[in-house]
Amino acid sequence: MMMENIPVKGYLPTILIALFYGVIALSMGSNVHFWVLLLCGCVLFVRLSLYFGHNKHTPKKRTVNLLAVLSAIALLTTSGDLGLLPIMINLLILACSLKLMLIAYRRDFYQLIICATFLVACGFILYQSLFRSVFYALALIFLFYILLSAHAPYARAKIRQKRLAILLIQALPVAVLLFVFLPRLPPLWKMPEGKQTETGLSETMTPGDIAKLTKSDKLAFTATFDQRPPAPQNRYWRAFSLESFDGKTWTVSDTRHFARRQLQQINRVFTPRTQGVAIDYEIILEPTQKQWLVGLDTATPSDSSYSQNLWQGWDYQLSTRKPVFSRYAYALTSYPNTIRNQGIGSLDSQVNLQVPEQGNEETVDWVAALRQQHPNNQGFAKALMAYFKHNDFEYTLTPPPMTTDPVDSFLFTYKAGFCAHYASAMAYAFRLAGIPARIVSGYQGGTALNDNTLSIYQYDAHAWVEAWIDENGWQQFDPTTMVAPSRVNGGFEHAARYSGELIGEHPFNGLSHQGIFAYFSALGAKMDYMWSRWFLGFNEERQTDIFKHILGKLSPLRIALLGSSIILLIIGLLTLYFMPRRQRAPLAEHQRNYLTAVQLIEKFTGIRREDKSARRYFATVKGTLPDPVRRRFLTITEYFEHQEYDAPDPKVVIKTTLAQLKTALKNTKPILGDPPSP
Amino acid sequence: MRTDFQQILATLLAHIIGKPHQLKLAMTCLLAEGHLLIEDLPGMGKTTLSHALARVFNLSYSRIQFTSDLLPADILGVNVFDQQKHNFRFHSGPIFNELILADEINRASPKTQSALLEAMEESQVSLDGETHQLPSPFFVIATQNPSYQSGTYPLPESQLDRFLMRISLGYPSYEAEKQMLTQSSMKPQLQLADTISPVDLIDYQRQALAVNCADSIIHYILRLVNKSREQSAYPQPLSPRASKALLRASKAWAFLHDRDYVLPEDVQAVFAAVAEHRLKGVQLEWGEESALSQQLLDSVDPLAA
Repeated sequence: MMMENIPVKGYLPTILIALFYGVIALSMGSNVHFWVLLLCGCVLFVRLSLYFGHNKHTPKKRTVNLLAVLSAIALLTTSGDLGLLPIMINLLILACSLKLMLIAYRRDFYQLIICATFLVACGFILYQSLFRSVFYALALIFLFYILLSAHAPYARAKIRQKRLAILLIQALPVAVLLFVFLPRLPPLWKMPEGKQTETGLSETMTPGDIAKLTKSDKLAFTATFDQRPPAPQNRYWRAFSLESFDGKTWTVSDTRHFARRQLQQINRVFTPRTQGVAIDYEIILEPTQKQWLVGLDTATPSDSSYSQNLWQGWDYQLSTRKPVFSRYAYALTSYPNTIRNQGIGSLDSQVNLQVPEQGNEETVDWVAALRQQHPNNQGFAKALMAYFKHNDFEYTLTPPPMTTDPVDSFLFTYKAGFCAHYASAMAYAFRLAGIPARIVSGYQGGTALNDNTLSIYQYDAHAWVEAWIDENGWQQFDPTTMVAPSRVNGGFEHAARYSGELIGEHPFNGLSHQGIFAYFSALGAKMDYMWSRWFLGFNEERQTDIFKHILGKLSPLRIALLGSSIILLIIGLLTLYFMPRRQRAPLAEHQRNYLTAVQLIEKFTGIRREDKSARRYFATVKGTLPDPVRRRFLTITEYFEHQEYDAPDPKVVIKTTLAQLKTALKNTKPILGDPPSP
Repeated sequence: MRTDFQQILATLLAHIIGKPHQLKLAMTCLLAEGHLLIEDLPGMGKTTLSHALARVFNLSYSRIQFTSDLLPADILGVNVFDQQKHNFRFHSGPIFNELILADEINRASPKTQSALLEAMEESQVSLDGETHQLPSPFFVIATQNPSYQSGTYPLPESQLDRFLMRISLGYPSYEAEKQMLTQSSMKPQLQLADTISPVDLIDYQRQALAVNCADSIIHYILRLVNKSREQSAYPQPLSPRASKALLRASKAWAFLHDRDYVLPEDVQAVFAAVAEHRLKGVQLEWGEESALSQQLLDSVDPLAA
């Protein structure tokens, strides 16, 4: 390829691509540093001033190199809290922006286009909602338009649009085929993790923490039931349990964590003994960056194919083998009536009876007294619940801070708090009384999207208590219901609105529940749900279903056959499209002879004729040919020219010269080293 | 190259230093009975070139400086009433010469431009119902400033097509300009021995037309023009008039090189000059000439049957 220059002035595609980078960088929001955005703006400015001819030359290479060093240092120093993926995205945007200042050859331009497609793909990794996807798809189409206008700078816009439309329509069936049928191969590399945003539940709970979370109205997950979903007060979505308590903060137990890892390694899975009614449903979980999965108690994977990816722990917790970095769909079957009494291991009792050695003295004394009144475990639990009900406790999202002996001050001084406070106090009390107990962190409730589907938002986060009550096994207690029954029956929003705490925080909060706004927000949620379910949720399992439908029985051979036949089909379509339409006329004798000679020379010199004419090709190769070969090839070239362009004379025969050329070539060794450039 | 043309070229090169290709193209244009458009910034030697051409081919020469107030009559001539003979007498304008230099043609109004272009196309001038034949040979060299300069009416695409070739001289090389500066004081006079009479020129033009052009060359030209029509990269595909011009120019180029048959090289040599202004039209990008025509040439194999 020759190095084709790109004009500095008045070349629209450079502006368009600069604009494109700016918009894409902007769309990635907090993943891109503000100063990187500024740089994108500067580049656009530089390109504009070049475009309009205010500046005649691109910035000096030295200037840009200096800028590159500075921005690399800046990126290193400012990116401490970003994940690896956003850092790489920043780096890519930076590099491309700097390149944009210098862009001089068509080759550079194509590089930028390729990098831009890569950036769009990164956008897809970071955000997967329907509207983002539509946005990035449009961005991609716009990018192709830029590429097309670079290719045909003088073509009219209408021609370009038509071209683009044709190309896209042609590409669509290929894309669909690839998406639906090409077997999903496991990735060859590990995706760097996205930014560790605390979008989901936090794995530590210091009462006071969840108040922050409850204000987030981001979607946590959606659940689609085969039948009607259970009643609101039964929708306790377990995420994980908090089992280690230091007097203030509940955390995931290290022992439990360690045990889980070891058990996963030796591939031992806990299988709960299930009883009673079964509820089938499917969950689409938003990315959490964690391994835990949500489910109604007692959940089991509903399809054996899932069990390869899902892992059931001895604490009835479901988790994946890889953290959930993008939307994840899985199907579960829950048995709400299961009695969870499958033995309490030494690990369970040890972890779930642990209490801090000191602190919260008042509670310790109070529990000791209460335990004396109720030696029966069931009775003790009832007494605890009753205590919350009858002692003027208050449900509030903005409780006073409780820094020293938080359980004491909550139980006896302030008597105000939200689910975390109640759950923490109750689990602590259980443990003090010698009853194994832990806190379950998860979600409660959910908003109905339609008859069978629930959307659960981050503000539905909840915490409750689980205690081992004799032969009943793990039993669930939610002390919050004693204080604010509406939290559980009417959902979080209802409760918060009831207590007058959500309204006034955001001027549009109230709006979203009225008339047309409600309609559109419901419509948006519904469309987003359909998008996740049918498009993002199209994973190996769904694909396998389709394969089964087509192939009947599945075997690696059949899948491989299907995959390769799809690829072959696509290749076939492409060849049909690109196949030269004109049919070659049969070659005349002089043409055949000349082409034979050219083939010999091409093989000998390594210089291909490509689109050179006979005379030019001779001029190109003549320097590399030894004398006898050159003489003969000249004769053949001249012969060809005369026959082809002058008067064809059938009497002239070249066979002997061709034979001489062959022997001459045989007698000389091929020249080693690079062929001289033409 | 034919020896007589070789000599002429040498003479011309003494005046226009370091531009042999452009000079050869200009001679080719003359041999192919076409007209030449030179697009260049002021002071690049457009006038010198046309003047020298007129001298070596011994052609009667006139230069028309186009300005915005130039009227068609100023070029073509007028009918004047003769008081003594009591009739109208045709007073011929400067166009009645064998070689016309239409300087800065884009400064004149479109009306005047089209008067010239009509005369070029028809080789005759019609005035008040009377037709006046233009001399033969008749050769127009029009010059045009790059179209973005202010106060100009750039030639529309339809009229650009009337010119067989468009060339631009461009800046001379460092060496050439040095030579130009050192010898500028004493311009060598054109010797009559170097010249060719107009009768010879007409004869040569006839011979150039008779150059043999094989089918494979015709196919090559057809492939070139068809490529420009198939691909959207070319905003203005080449017209049949363009393919005819390409053939004529290639023949003349072959004749200039003393060959009685056309080679693909001949087509390639004239292609940029013949096709570029037709492909690109008025959207002239200064300094990146021949880009489109070069692309087109690169994408077509001259040998493919």
